[in-house]
Amino acid sequence: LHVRFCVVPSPYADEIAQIAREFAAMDPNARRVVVAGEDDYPEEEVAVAIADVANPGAVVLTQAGNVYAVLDVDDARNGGLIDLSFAKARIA
Amino acid sequence: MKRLLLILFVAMPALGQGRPYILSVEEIPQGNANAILCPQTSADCSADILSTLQITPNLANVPRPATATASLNADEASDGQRRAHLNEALGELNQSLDLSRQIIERHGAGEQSEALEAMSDQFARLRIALNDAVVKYLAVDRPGEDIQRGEEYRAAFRTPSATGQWLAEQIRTLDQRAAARAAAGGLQLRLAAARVRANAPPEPLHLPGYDTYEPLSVTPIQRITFNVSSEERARNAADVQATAAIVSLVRTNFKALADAYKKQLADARARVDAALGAVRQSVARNGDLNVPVAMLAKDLNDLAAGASEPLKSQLTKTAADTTTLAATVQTTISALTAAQTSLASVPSKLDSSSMNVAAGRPDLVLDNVLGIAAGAQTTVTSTIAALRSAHDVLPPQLAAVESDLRALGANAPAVGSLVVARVRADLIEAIVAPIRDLDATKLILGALGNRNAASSAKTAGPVADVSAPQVTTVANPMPTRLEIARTDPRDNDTIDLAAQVLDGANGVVYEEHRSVRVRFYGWHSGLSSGLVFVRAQETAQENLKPEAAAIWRIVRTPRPWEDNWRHWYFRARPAVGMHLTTLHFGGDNDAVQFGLGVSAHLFDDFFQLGYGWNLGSTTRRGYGYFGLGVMKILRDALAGR
Repeated sequence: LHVRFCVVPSPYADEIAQIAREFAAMDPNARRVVVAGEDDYPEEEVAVAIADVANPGAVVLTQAGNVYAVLDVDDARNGGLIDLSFAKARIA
Repeated sequence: MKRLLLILFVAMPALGQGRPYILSVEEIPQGNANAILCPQTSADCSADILSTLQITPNLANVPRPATATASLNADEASDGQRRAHLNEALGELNQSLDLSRQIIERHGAGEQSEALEAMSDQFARLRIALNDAVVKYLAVDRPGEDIQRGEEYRAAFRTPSATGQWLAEQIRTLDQRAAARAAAGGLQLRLAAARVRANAPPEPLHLPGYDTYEPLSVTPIQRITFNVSSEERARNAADVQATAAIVSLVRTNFKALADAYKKQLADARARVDAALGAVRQSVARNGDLNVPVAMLAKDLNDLAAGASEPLKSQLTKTAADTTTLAATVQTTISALTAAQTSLASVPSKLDSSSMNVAAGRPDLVLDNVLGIAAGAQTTVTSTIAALRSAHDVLPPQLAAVESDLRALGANAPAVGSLVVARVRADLIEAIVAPIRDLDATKLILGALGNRNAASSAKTAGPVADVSAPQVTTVANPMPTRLEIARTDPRDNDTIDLAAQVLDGANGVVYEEHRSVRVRFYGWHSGLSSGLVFVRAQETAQENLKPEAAAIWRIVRTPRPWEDNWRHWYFRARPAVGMHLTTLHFGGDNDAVQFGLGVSAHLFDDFFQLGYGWNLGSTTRRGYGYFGLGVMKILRDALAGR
């Protein structure tokens, strides 16, 4: 099971997906990036998670499918925070 | 005068101990128990093999002229902190990248395992630690700021590959500052470590922050384990063999030589046994293969007789090709049967007990062994030739029949393709394994007769890599750690720590060496050997005759400070374990037997007692022994010379 980095639709979605994929590629066994429209994009969980967040950029789900973190657009473009979210969600 | 000398004699040790070393060495035991500080005024100390050494340089202890500044490095403390965080980050980054490569490779190969999951967990921990170290580094200059939202942090993690470059830039900046300070008159430090082992050249070790050597991987060491390292196994095997050689000296001078040959012959025998097993299976499976192939040829001929052209010609050609194949199959099966018969006699020829025939005549042992090897080699060579010939001839004939059957299409007999598949899978493939085993056997047997082979192998060793990594000069001395398990350690190794202090003009102003002896302290398992004197339960069988024993035992090595009456085991060094020993129930001319049992040792394996049972006997199997750890004594004596 993977930690899923779900890219929320936004003007920066492509940029976020690209950098997140680079960090996900370091551990293909545990990390995965999904964007809106893909089969395993969890529409409902993401919608609930970003309900009260201004400028949501991504939602990080643990292996069990629980929401680990919601990153705003600014944080979701920050490679260090992407890497850290992947790692912390893995051992959460 | 005498009084002056006496005063000097008494005062010198005190003078020597007046100044502490600039290197402070702490042993951090496994499991992060309380650190043990090596005496600060003694050059030597010891540490457990599973511990980590924390080495802290302190340039304030460098002897300096009274006019010099007290602490030239006081204003560099923040750079010291920065460098420590950067080194930590660099370590985490390197480990995580290494792990990432492994994960990608194994995941790409389709692996799904608990081991891979554990690697992903470890990767996550390393990335968290890397992130943390970078944050701490940046926080040195920006205390209280939200580091992770800053531009520098973003730059450090712009992409996965950017982090290494960013760290290198930061380290370069620190180095430039350090060089500038050094030019202004500050002290610099060079720190190096090496593992010193008896009868081996010193091995340089990596000290994080002080050199560019590659770190060694951690040697898996367990306190109590039946898994014995290959080195310890080899050492013990050598000890047991050497003990056996001593025993042999008592029995016959040539037994040691025979033992060496026995070992090789046993290997050859195992391979012949494997080949014979494969051939037997193949004969059992294919003994009736002649019948279906011959039947196929007959069916094709019958069909051709009743057919009209052009089908008749096609069937006739297929029948002819199948008849040729049938003949070769028959030849091959005959060859396999012959190989089975001839190989069946080889293992008994290679049976090491056959060498005991000459035990009473040492001068005949060598000739006997070489004669056995030569006889077996002839059989093996001819068998390989027969099998290889069959293996090479069958495929083209089989291909011809296959091509014919394809051309016949629906007119081909239904069993045709089945017979072809069986010939390929059961006969051709089955011959491959025996050929491989017998080829290896031929090499072993050939080597037995070739006395130049061993010396040729020795001269063809690898050439040492001399692309020398460097010990670097550091202007910001900081603590560093050395995991002893990363030094490929053995009990009684010594780790030498050398420090050189340089001034602004790169002149050495001070140098010191400290050494840490590596010991396996506490309870631990290991191998031992003994020259034991066996007394059988039935003393007529064997009565206090020397034998060689290999022992696995658990022993407790006490710390030096346990040398007092409360720790009786300090001197007694008790150990308990299990042994395997050679036996000669029934006299010297009988084949060697083996006994298995329990053992108890005292005084560091010197004095040994054991009780066991002869595995080669069904009645009156019991025996007892007392023994001496002669090889250990000899090794210690030689090491002390």
